[in-house]
Amino acid sequence: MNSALSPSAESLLTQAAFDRLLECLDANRERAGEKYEVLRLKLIKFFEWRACAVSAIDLADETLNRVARRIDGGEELQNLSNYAYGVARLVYLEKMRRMKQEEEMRGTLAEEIEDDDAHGAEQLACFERCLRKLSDGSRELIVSYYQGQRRAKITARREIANRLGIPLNALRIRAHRIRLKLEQCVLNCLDAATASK
Amino acid sequence: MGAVEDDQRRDYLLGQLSESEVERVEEEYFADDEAFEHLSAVEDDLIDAYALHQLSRIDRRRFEERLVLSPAQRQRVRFARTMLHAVSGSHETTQRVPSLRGTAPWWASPFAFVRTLNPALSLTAAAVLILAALFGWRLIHRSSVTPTPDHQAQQVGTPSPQPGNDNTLQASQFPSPTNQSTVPDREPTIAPKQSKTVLAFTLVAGLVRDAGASNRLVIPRDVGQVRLDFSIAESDELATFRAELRKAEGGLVWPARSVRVESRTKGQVKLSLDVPSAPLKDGDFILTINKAAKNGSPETVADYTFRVVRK
Repeated sequence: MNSALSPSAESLLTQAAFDRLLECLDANRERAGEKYEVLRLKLIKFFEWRACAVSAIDLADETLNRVARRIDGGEELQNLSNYAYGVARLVYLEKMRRMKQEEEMRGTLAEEIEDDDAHGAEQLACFERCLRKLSDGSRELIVSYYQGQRRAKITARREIANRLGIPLNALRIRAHRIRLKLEQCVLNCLDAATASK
Repeated sequence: MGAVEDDQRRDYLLGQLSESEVERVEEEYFADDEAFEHLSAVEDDLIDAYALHQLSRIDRRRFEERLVLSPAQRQRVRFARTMLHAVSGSHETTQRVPSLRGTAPWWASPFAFVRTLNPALSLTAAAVLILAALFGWRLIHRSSVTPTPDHQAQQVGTPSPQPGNDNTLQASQFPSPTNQSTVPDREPTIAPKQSKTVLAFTLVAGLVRDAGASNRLVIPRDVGQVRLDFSIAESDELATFRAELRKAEGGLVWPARSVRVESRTKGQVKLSLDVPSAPLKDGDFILTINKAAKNGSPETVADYTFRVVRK
């Protein structure tokens, strides 16, 4: 298998190495777990935003495995996030050699999104179900935030920020977090619908 | 160099920055969780613009070359289309949602206005408001208290009230990025040190949430580790697998790890995975099994839903 992943290297990641990685993130195990998730998400997004989305999750995990092995080998790291970023860039360069395959995929993807509107009704049903699951405040915010078009939308968002007593940037982050929850909920709903067919 | 601005973030996502500028954006979001959320919010805006055909032809091409390469990214575009259609056009969805109520306390109104101004102007306006409040307090205080020698003696050693501190306290109660946790809400996922007791469960495939009867894991408190056994149909004798455990409502519980192959028979592989019991709190979980494909991209081959009951 010719990829950035090497099954034998990956299998060398021990529980002890993983534990040390967490200790490096935070002395408190629970906070370390949260920081691990944030770092992993940043790495996944790094590869996605560098146009390696197809294998972003694997590349992110490979990066974390390499970082963990270095720590387990006795490396003292001043700044784990910075170090992980450096390793990610190396993994990215290795992956770039195999980018040709992803370039071949690009030609078909735009058409696939258009054709998939046949499943629009299912998406909408899941979206409405997930919208109802949100708290009242979150539901109100997300609906108000995305209503309207162009300039009217911008004006409306300023008004929402005023009413809530928060800066526009803070409103944007709140909307982003609620949107992420909705997206995950819709994904789970669609998976459940697929599994039940 | 100042902080990265939204235009630069947008250019980063569309691949329009020089390598040194790319590094600056990336260093910033790796170091700062808030910067990462800002960049993710800019990505949301780009996805929405793409979904609504509001990007220029060139930006649309750039977007397609970089940000719709994977099934997950394509789903994000579909989600954006669905959401924007539902909330901006659909009468049925939005009519059930009452209009947004203001939650800013009455005394925060002047500060809410100030926050919408640009930073330099908002600082000046905030300073003027605070000085006006302080001046007003001083006027009231002077007119209500006539110091006497005894009163002054009592006041020695007693710190005087500081309206500036009250305003600062009130300002800190505003839900702004600087006083909110910048880490997305996630439940703790990593196990503390465990006892050595291991409990094994055999899972049945399927993603139906109500299959709780068949995949219901009752885990006593003293169990240190849980072993999950499962079988999948697989004819490739060289196939290797990885597992990822998440909460049903989202959130990683146990990171992607290699799965142990216990046995292979014709067309079937028996697998097992050891998970510390600590992150397995009461609730529903999804175990996803991925097979490493020849082209390097993982392929999901099975999902198992199970419910944990801790005793």
